[in-house]
Amino acid sequence: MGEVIVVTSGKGGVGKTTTTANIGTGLALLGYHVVLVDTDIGLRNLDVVLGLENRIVYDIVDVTSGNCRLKQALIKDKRFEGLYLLPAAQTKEKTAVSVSQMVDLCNDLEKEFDYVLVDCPAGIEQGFKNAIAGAHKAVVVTTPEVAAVRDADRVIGLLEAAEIKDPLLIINRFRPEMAKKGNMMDIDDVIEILAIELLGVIPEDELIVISTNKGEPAVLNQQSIAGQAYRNVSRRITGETVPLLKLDVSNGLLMRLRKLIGMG
Amino acid sequence: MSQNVIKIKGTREGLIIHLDSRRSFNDLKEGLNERITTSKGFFKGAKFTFEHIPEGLSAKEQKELEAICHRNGLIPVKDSVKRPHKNLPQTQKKMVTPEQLLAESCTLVTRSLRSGQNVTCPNHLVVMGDVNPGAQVSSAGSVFILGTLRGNVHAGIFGDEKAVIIACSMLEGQLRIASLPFYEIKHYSQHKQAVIARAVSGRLKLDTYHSSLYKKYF
Repeated sequence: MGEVIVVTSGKGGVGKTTTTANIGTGLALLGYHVVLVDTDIGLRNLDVVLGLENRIVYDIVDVTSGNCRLKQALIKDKRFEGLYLLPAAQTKEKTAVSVSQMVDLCNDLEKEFDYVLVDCPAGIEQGFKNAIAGAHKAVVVTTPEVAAVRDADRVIGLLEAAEIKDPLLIINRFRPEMAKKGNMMDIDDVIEILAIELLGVIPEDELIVISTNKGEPAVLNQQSIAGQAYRNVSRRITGETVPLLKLDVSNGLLMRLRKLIGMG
Repeated sequence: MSQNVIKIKGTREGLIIHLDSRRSFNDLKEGLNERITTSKGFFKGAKFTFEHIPEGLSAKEQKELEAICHRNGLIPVKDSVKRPHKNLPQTQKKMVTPEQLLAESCTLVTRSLRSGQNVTCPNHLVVMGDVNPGAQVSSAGSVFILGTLRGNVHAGIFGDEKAVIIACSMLEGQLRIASLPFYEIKHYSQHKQAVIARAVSGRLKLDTYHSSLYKKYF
């Protein structure tokens, strides 16, 4: 029996899809059987981030409405053993899938895979309710901005109400030099408000934009510091204890770290 | 010995003197005497009544016991002093006025309130946790937050201007008391001290909380 983990945030544009793609790929790199489920019906993106957009035949709505079998809709990522995508439908709306259909789908997937990662749409409406319906665990993604943190707080409240206990926090696009000058919320400020366990801090990294456009998750790039952070997050999800990346402000050390990762 | 023969309980309406019905009149008399005289005038001026009067006790003997009390300054009450019951009968419960209820009861919330979560209560409110941005707390009485306040709090929603808001720290958010103009918090509590918000001449005022303030305003 696998684990169903929903990746959610409330606010849009904080990096849910990027996080789902990277954690999923990271887990597959560690040798696990992983399926990524895109529940952002009507605004699908996960397929693009993974570089699988031209291989979609069937989607999640086809599965839930019985147009095809589950196995037919799953797209295998050829780069790794054990990474699959269940894409969202682009021409339908969120209401095309119901909560009970989603629960059934998650139940079917967790029998086949070690990890089922559900990419949740922004907002707290039907799409959100669908995405969390079958989940056992939740990862809440936020950026160190007041608006994103407030939305994350709202979502954590809703997750608790839905009895998804102890969500884990990812702080994305963190810029240590700005936080140090006091121009950005620090990690401690975010944790103090949200009061949930920290799963990881992903530093701001230009390589993320490049990798997203190319359809190659940053975890595959040994040069990317964000990729390194996502690799660590993946290992933490499997239960391993991995210390947080040292995001030192001094540029020299950051460069040294990059070099180190490059060499390793 | 007198400890066992005579038990005295204090209630709001007066003393209840419990007589051990298994003891003889002489035991009771001796015990009562000893108990009251050793109290050195502690019971003086208090109203009292007997409870569990032994069946064998004659009216004359009962009078004699009352006289002992009377001599020591206790005042006998004709109607027996009512014992307060933990479970009041329904009819008595209904007699409690809303004002009394407001003054005496309090709602306890044992978690943090996150964005979008609301709590409204008809009395005082104690939150054991934080009130985060986007959370709303409303109360007919005062609000006590054993944590950090970053959200919206409205105390005295039915117009009680004596209501106060106390929090371990107030960092952001909006405060309201009764129908007074709102107060916007801007990083009030930098030092780790509790903060009290109260109405002073028609406006909300914030202070670092101190127990002497408490005495002045309650």
